Amino acid sequence: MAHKELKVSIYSPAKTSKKSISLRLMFADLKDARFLGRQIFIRDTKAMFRQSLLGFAWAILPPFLSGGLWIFLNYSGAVNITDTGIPYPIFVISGTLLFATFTQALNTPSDAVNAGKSMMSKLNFPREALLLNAFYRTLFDFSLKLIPLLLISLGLGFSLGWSALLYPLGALVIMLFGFSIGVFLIPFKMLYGDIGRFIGLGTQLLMYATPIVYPMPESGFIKDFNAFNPLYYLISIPRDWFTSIEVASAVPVWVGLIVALIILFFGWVLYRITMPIIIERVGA
Amino acid sequence: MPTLNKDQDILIKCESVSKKFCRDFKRSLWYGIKDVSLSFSDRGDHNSVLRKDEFWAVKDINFELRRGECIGLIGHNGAGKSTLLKILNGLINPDEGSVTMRGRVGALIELGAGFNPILTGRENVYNNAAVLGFTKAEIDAKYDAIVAFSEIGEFIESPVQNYSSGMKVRLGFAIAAEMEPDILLIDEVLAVGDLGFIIKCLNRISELMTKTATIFVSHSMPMVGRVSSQVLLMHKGEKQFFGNDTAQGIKEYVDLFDSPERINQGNGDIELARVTLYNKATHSFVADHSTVLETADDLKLRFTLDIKDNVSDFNLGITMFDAQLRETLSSNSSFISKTFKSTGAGQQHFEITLPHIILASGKYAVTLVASNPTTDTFYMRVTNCIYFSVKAIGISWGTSVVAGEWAEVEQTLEINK
Repeated sequence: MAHKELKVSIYSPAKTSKKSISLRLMFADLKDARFLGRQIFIRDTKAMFRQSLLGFAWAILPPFLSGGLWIFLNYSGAVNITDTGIPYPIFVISGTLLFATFTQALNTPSDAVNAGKSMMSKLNFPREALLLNAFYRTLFDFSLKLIPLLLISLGLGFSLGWSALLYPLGALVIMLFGFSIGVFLIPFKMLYGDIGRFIGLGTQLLMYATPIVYPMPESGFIKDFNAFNPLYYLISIPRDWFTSIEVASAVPVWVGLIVALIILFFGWVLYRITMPIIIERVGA
Repeated sequence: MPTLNKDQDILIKCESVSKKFCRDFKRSLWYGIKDVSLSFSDRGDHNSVLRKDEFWAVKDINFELRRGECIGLIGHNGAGKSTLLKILNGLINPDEGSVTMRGRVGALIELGAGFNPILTGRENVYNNAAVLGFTKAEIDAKYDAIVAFSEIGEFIESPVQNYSSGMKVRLGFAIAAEMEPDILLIDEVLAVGDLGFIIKCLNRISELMTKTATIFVSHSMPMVGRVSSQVLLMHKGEKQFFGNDTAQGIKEYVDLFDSPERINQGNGDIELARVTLYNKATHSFVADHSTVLETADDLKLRFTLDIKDNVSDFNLGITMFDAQLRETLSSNSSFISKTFKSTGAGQQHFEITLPHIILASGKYAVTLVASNPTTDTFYMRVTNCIYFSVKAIGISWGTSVVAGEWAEVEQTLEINK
């Protein structure tokens, strides 16, 4: 029998195995995980659509509804929002879409890992596949939700400029921003359910504290607070791109991207180190 | 195979591997947090001491396994078998010691992992195979073989939720069986499925095993005996027995269980008052379970029955069960057309001799029966009324062992010519 080069795996206490975390190994696993990650994503998506009558409509409807709600509140006078300079529906939907993408990117990693928990406690596969699946899912949902935004804009006769092409790029940055925090939080969320609840509350508060359905006020607490709120920049800049409003500086978006990538990297390392410990504590 | 390759062929090296678990869930989570934080610091760790509520789930397990060898891993529920398997598979890290695995690991642990019930069998072949580490090209190439092995036929295009549990296992095994692993981990996967498929699976596993180092976890001792070259018996996380003598390992496993209590059945017209076995060590009949027989010894049993006055005649029977509840030996007075007569209400004494016992090594439970010769209803049926042990002349996991008459002859007779 010809001896092919056998892959050697050594398992030892977490303390010593920490030293063996190498970039080479991490990216090799990521490469191995690509097919599985895609396969899980396709599986879940197919299953989701096969079990519903309206199919894609479910992905497209929510932005229509939440956007419609705010438009109704505004026109009925229940809430009074100062002029945004562009048609209010487009203002609301292009903003809420970005925020929804952020919260989804924040929550999907731990959801996907939780769903794969029982599989993880029984089989050894590249754990990165679950993260890839989560990322694909976020990306896919964003693309679906982009459709109603475009339809509404065209329906209202709003002319999109060239800078609207930058909008998906901006969305990608806020997506990565949410995703990186989401990946970082996976181990904590898996150990304690409290953290997930806390995040749910926090994002709801943030939704209202950030100028998403209303324009930035001229002064006051909201303005002071949002000067330090990365979400404000990551939402308002792409929205301005979409609506062809002059953007003073795109630097916050690039900073956001770099910060996201750094958090993502450390989140990934943490995920790799903690997964065996977590699987042993809460593994199904 | 040149001996130079000997060390290379050690595919699994398990060096004083230990793992502890925590009984209390909340505390376990807290320890988890601590462990996570400690894994980043250079301060000391808690790896080798037991904190409150912790216990060793696996303690100091050592072995090496080469290509072509198979360890049967046996033990009670909760003895640490699956935990050890998880450590070997890299799912959880050991707290002490280390594991070295060389080559591709194939785990027959959860068949059909990654199946989505809504999707068709065909789609799920891809899902499951991807989890097992196949590439797209590999699955494409093996797809037909998988479907053929599973014998699912046209149902491959139906949603998996319409499959019976046996069909799911078939498909899951068929996919897993296409792996070409160097190390094979098998954990109790053949429990479902009909006998035909189990045999097919066992054959496939045997085929794979010639090329792999295998760890086989099962509660089915006949299967362990059939496939294993060594047995590792775990008890409370520790090694209780490890060696090539599979029969001895299985015996020790069986001895770990308490002997079941005596069970009285029948209509009560006859009752067992006393039962004894001839013990050759003390040259007397004893009522305890200490009797040990060797191959070809006679088994002598004396018993006393309380017989009610409505019984006129009856047959007597005796059955031996081995520790895996296999019926291994039976005798009945009706076999020699002998029926006993009642002498009126009161006690009567009987003796049965079973000559030249050839049972395999192990512990046996005796069931005594008295039945109505015409209706065959039981006057008395006492299960586990007494136990005895057999120390056979040789090692076997079969049910009987004989010395045989072995000889070399001049020429074998060729009958067909």
